[in-house]
Amino acid sequence: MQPPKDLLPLTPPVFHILLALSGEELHGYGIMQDVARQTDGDLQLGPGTLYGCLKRMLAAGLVEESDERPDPAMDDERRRYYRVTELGQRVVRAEAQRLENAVSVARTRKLLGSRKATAEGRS
Amino acid sequence: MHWARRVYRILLYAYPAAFRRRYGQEMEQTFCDRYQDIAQTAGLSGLLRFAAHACADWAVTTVRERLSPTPVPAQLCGAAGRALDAVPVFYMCGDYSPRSGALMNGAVLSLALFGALVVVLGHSEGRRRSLVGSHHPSRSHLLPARTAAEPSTDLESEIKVRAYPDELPISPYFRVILVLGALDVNQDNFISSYEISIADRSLKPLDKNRDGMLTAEECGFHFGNTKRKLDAQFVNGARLAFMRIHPVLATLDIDHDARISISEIKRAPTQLLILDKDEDGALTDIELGPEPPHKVSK
Repeated sequence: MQPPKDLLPLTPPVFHILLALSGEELHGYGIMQDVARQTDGDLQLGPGTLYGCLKRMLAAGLVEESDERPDPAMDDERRRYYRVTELGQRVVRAEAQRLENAVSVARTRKLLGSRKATAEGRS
Repeated sequence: MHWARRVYRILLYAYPAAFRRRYGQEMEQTFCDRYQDIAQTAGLSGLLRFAAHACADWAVTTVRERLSPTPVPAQLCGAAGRALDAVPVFYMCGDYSPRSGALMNGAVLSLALFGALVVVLGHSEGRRRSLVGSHHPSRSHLLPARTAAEPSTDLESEIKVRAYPDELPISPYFRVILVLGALDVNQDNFISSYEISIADRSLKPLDKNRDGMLTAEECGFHFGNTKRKLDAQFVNGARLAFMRIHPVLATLDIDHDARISISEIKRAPTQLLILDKDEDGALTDIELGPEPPHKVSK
């Protein structure tokens, strides 16, 4: 299996798609909505960007198609559900770790406030 | 909704065929889901923003998919250049989409620049034309350059371009008789049937003092730069002679009062046909020129 570090750093769309799929299996529009929620609407994926990323992620083995239909009410033959693979989990974990390290460095250099202050600032 | 779906379906044809076959239906469905969501929650302004975003996404991703039709795992990461082994790769090969606002700014700037260019080109008529070449004596200068240095070598070849090969020199007669110059709109020393038909309009610019008629001076009569005071009767006689000698003036000045009045200007298109001896509908320099003096019999 390919070492996760070979695929780092991930682009923001790929990282957020992996984050969305790490929670549950989703179809395209579900991924789009989840990414928008994760980023407070800062990252709005268009269909072209989303499926371009999914194509490359499928080729890299980070995600795979799922035959199951978790949401039968929304089921449609055109909808395909995607889930993250084991490699995908490792890659997203490695990317999250890399970002955390970067954030730690930023905190050390006082570019960011403490976690508590940041949380208070958000609230 | 139906028309939006139809338009997006057409736009999908810009993607590579394999990509469209595999993801086209899903993309269309996703687009429709998003469209419906926004229509219900954000109204018209939200739909407009969505349309701009969708267009930007389409423009960027169609190019990207065409540039990288083969899925390469390394394209997942930001360092796209690494996968292509030091071949420079433009930023758009990444998975970022530019902000729709940035694209809008670019579009507005491009339109403004294009408009300015059109205005400049449209109003540059009559000004000095830009030349590609040099007025410098050295033949090796293709572009003007201010330098005191002597060129080390000079080109042996020389290009000669004939100036305006399609333009004929204006006949001196057409220069002297201002009426002829005005009638010959395209300056080909020939008054065509069209130029005859618009003769009344062509003559109006000659009326410098805007009194509605053309005097002998406005038709081309002048005594040169003489400072000597001339006898008024003599000058009037000269004016009358000028207007009678030249066939075109004699034809237009119907009442021979050495002036072409408003009514005579209006009748110019029909009057000029009198000069059309060969009845071909146009007037040549032979038909317009003064008749040669009769041979004096010995």
